Amino acid sequence: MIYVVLVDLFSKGYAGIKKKILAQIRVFSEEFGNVYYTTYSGQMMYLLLNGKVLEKGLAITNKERNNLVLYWVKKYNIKKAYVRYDLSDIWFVQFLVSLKEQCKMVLEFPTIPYDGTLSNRRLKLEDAHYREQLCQHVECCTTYSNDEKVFGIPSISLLNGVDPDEHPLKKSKIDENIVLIAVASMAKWHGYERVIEGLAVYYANGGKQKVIFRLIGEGPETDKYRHLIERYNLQEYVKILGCLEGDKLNQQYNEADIAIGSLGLYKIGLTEGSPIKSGEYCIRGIPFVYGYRDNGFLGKEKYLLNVSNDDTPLEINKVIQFYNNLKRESSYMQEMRKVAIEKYAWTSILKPVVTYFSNM
Amino acid sequence: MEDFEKQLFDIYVEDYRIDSACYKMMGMMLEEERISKRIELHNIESVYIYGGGYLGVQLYNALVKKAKVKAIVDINGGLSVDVNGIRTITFEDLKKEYTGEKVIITPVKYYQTIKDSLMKFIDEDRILFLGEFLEGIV
Repeated sequence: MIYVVLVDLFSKGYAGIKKKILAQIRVFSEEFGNVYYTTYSGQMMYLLLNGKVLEKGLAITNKERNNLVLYWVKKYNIKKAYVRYDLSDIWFVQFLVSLKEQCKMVLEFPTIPYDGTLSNRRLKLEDAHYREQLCQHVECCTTYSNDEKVFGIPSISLLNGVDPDEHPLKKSKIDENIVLIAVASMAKWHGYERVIEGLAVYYANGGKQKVIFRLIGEGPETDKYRHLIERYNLQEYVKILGCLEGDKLNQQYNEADIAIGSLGLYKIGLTEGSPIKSGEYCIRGIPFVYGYRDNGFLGKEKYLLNVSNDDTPLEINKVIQFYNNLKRESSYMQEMRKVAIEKYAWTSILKPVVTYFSNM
Repeated sequence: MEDFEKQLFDIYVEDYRIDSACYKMMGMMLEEERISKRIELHNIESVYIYGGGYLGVQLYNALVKKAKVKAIVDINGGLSVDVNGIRTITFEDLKKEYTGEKVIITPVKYYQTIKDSLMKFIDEDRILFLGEFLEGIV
């Protein structure tokens, strides 16, 4: 089997996605044996197996990149392909036509709809035109929405899975401050300006309970958040900590009381989703605030605070009240972890995909 | 689209992609921290740069204070940029003096041809493409 990734899986912004893909590969490996995978970086296309580079080749154009994958599929006699969708163009459609001749194929749409994430006019036009042709060549796709079909392709709905070993249960803490944490690639759809603005309103109105907001990760919105912190003079309460991993990240999770999920999906036209982060927060036992319909939850769970999907500042008093109510119950963290382990195991999430591939 | 137009379209796309890649690599070579990190990751002590164009000279400037750049290798034995003080040699010179250093190929369009020629006397794992040096998997 091959897991086709046509972008740079090893770049900074893909850390979370890389983990997810490797976890999916582990499940496919258990079912089908060797799972080769590809990645594209520095104009080179790579073929890997078990973390080791088997093949590489310079590929300047998308056509060259796709042709290398097809060449490797043939060379290694691969019969199953799971393709992570990037965008459509004429070469991608041609690639799928050729791949289908050699393999049983599933196309994964990581985000649907995604039009709001594209700012390049050429890419938008090109993609909108060619994606309409995908259904002629693809018989099965997966997505993290509840859509039955995507661009006319029958879809299997997935959740984003989480590995419990990588995400330990958060430790209890003693101090009285309420610490909010956001771990993300700081893109516009995270909408964390709503938290910063909410804190500005809260402290301007004489908020007594100390509420601290820590942002972990870096991305295109980081500078904007930095300016907002200065503008509202919130340096004491809002900290940008950059990218953290391992023990340092665990330490921050241990000190956190509430996590902040995506609050800006409205900016890219989304109302629902299954972000990786909600599963990670849940498995660590950290209650979280989010502003969309999460396909992994009912929305009524006591450890979730669902807020509006718009640009209004987050009501910090509401968050404090939510947390104070929740912390009276001693077992909510264990309950969250139990729910997450049952719901977010990749083995069970990918079962329908494995079944699809097995029926050959 | 007729065959001729298709062919022309493909050439336009390739040229556009090459220009984009060069622009991106030019930018990356200005990131000192990245260069230091990549030198370490690729375990480079001394190196030859293949290609005396803009990319080759820019790479020379990025590397010269951090690693021993033995020379810029160019098929014509010179630079296409008007810069003094850089040692340049021909392909034949490289053949004579090569002793196991890494070689970074900078021309995008002729990468494969250059690599094939170099592989006649250099192990494949000693040859890197510029993009690979800057952001590829190590």
